[in-house]
Amino acid sequence: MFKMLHSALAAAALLALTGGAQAADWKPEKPIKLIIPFGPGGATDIVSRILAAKVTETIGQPVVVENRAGGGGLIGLSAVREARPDGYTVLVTTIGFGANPALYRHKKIPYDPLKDFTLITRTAEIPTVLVVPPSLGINTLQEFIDRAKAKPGTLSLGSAGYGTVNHLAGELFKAETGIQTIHVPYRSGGLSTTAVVSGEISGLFATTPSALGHIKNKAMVPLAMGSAKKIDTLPDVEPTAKLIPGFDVPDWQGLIGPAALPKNIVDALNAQFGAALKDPEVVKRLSDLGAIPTPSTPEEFVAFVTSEVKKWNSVADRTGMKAEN
Amino acid sequence: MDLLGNLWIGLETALTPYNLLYCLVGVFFGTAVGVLPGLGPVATIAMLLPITFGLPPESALIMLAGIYYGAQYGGSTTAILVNLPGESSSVVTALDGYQMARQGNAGRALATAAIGSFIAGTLATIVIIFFAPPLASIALKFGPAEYFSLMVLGLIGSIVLARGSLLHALAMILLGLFLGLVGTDITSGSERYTFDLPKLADGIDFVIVAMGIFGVGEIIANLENESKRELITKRVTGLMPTREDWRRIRWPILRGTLLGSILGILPGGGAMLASFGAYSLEKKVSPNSAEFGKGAIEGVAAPEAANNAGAQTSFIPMLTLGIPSNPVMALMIGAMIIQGIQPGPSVMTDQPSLFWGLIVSMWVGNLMLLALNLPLIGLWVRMISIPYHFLFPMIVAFCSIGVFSLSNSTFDVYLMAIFGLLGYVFRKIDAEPAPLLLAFVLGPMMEEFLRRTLLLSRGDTTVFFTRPISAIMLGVAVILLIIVLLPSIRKKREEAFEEEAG
Amino acid sequence: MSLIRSPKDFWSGLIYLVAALFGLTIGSNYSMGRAGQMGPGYFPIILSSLLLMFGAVTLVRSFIVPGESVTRFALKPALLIIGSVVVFGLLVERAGFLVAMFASTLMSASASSEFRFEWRAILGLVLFVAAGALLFVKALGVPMPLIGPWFNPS
Repeated sequence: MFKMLHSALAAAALLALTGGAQAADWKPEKPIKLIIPFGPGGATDIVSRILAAKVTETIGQPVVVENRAGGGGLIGLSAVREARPDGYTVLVTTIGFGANPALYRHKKIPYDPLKDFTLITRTAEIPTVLVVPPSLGINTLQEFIDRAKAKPGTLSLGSAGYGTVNHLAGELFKAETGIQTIHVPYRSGGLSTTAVVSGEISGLFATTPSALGHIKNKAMVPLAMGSAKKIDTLPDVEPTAKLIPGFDVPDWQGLIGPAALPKNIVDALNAQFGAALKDPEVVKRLSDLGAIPTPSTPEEFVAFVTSEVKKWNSVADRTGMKAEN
Repeated sequence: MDLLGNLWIGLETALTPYNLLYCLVGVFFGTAVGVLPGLGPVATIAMLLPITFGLPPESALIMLAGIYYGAQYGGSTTAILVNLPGESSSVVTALDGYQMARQGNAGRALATAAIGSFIAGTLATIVIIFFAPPLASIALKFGPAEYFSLMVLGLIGSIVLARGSLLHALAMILLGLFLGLVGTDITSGSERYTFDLPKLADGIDFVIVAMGIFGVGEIIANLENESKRELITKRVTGLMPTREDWRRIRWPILRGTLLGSILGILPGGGAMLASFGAYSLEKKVSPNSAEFGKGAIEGVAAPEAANNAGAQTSFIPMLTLGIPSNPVMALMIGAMIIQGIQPGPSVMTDQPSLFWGLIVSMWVGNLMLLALNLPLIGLWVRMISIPYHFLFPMIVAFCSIGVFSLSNSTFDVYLMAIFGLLGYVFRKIDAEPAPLLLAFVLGPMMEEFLRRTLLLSRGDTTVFFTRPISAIMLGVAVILLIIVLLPSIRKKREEAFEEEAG
Repeated sequence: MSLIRSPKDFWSGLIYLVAALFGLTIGSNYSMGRAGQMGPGYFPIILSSLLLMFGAVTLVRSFIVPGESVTRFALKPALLIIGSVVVFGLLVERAGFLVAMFASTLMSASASSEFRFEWRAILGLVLFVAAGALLFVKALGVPMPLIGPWFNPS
């Protein structure tokens, strides 16, 4: 039923289509499976579904989204690692991809991000913002740091679990400032947001879409952006990087495939997804969601993930962060 | 008063032909995925989300909401007819509903569920209209300490679910808690009892346990004495509740609605606790408590009412505070954000047609569900009167497909096979699975909240008694425990006296 | 037989004990923490210990207090039904949905004493498999190949 609706919509869009991106010499001959290593409904899932719908119009074959949730994304990753490198199985990964080697290094490292996979393109990123409950009585980033230093171990930072953007941003913040905060993990992003509103925790590096409404309603106080740049929807909030140079932890997403994916396939997929990310309608949909398109070349993506791996290993050195306490 | 004006806006929005159509589409899809085991509203809504981009926000939310409560309805149908609870809240409906079905009263059970849900939905809508903002603040008053105490209360209450000995009920609760430990420990991030299998890292899905133990286990037990077993009787009594039934379900529906309306507001396990709580309550207060577990109509009416009332009031924190009380509400927030609406207190004032339109549509949707489902009852009843040896292979197949579709993994199918065997063994030794299932769901949350409380209070355990709501609930739990224990203690003593006398 | 006076209690007790011992053995690897700051091992150890106690009591009681006996274990239906679920799991991604569903449903159906292997049964089965394919694979889009890589080695 849904699938029929979907294909009807896709067909209608195809008719309206005047000209798609010119693909490189690889043309898919059967549907492409786009694996999302999380359950349906999250930000990664929704962004990827928008992209999949757009690429379906131009690549000539359906791009079918398949959710393979579990193990903090590890189940989806291992499904792709074991898939044939033929371009028909790809995956959208997130910040945990580059941080897992650091998080799991005290036991068996689950995978090598650069050797076990082929990186195709970055797709989008969602800015983050450090928010605190109004009841805390803190209004600036400096006050937060001062309070944490004056009373070590009294302030807490929430997260949606180990290895999520909230947790990682908090760990980097701790490593850079040398403050002591309690990490309070929740079952989901929604629950950790609620905990800030109710004042249960003293802060959270939240993704901006989940926090905007609460900030507008004065149920949360924004202290600083967790990502490098200011955003239009929060014009008065300075980035953390102003105080801590180089601080940049957005919730990024990128498209990857199995290792040894042939160059022509990588280029074709890079071109198709890159074009979709520049499509005005897609850009609008993503920005409604609070996501920023970040198309890149495969080489740029490799450089980015290399720096991510280095960053989180260095954080783990300094804070002793790991996936298991 | 302003309220009437608001209601008028709501009616105007909900009753446009377009929105009526989207509401119908929503409840229809919802019922369909609810009836099919394994498929749930979360996956359905996520799949349909991109389609709603092009709709006006009111229509999109009306349709998605319809899927949600439609699925609740559909889920109870399967629970009653074939003992397959596809969602945690329909486990208790299966207890007495399935027994009624076996006795040839499937029609009355289904009608009771539908009518009970409708009444509860209507009352809960009224509750939302009048009390949404004050009730929303309850959700924020519940910190981890309160949740922990609520879970304790829920677990103690679940002992009432059991029919047999207290010892076995407690042991089954422990087994359930134990099963719930499998997976990643939220608080520390370490994996427990996962044997390094990534597929177990997120724990075992409730549906796998429920379908294995209830569905597959039941089928094997039924095949045991196939020749002797009375198949589901052809002698189907009336499809509608009798006058006597009405008298019996009146108060259970109202009590269930009340309990469900309150618990539905709480983020987390609220909705499920509501149906378990309503059942336990009826079993304690009902004059027919001996019939519970053997096909008591109150045992269908109360949890269904609670379940549906909870589904409605779970919209309150979402609409008024922008706080999701369950995964479906989180998706609804996503849908609103896509439409450019920031959920929160301003929705009520900035988007009155959305807010009130959605609320009125919930009542309209409930009416549609009633109209849709009452005529279907005859069809359902005819379906289960087809010979069992045709029916059960289909149920097994649906279970396998449903469990596979949870996360597209055959591992889950094998797990269900194990739980199916376990379910059959439980039947052989008269162990009751309902307390096990409740504990399975509550256990991880209980541990999580306990440890989070202590993390935030830095090891101070007195918070459970100094925070008033938490203290009250723990007090009620103690009283409940005494009430439950007393009869068996008294009985033991009487037995002892008798022996002495004899 | 004569020693065990309540077989149902005996077997329940045994199940509790096995689960408890299992929980204790594996759980002892997890860090306990303190009551104030519990580690991941705290809950499992407490639970397993309680279960151990309940198991022991139940087991001892089964030798003292008379109770019901356990009826015969229906081996054939149990094996066929559980087997049919496993067969579905084994085949669905390899041989494809059509074959998996056909084999699995045939196997579970044969658990019934009413089952006759005849053309009407097979016809019904084929119709059922086709309806399942339409509903789950085509309409709902559950990602199961209709024809698996076994028959389609590209």
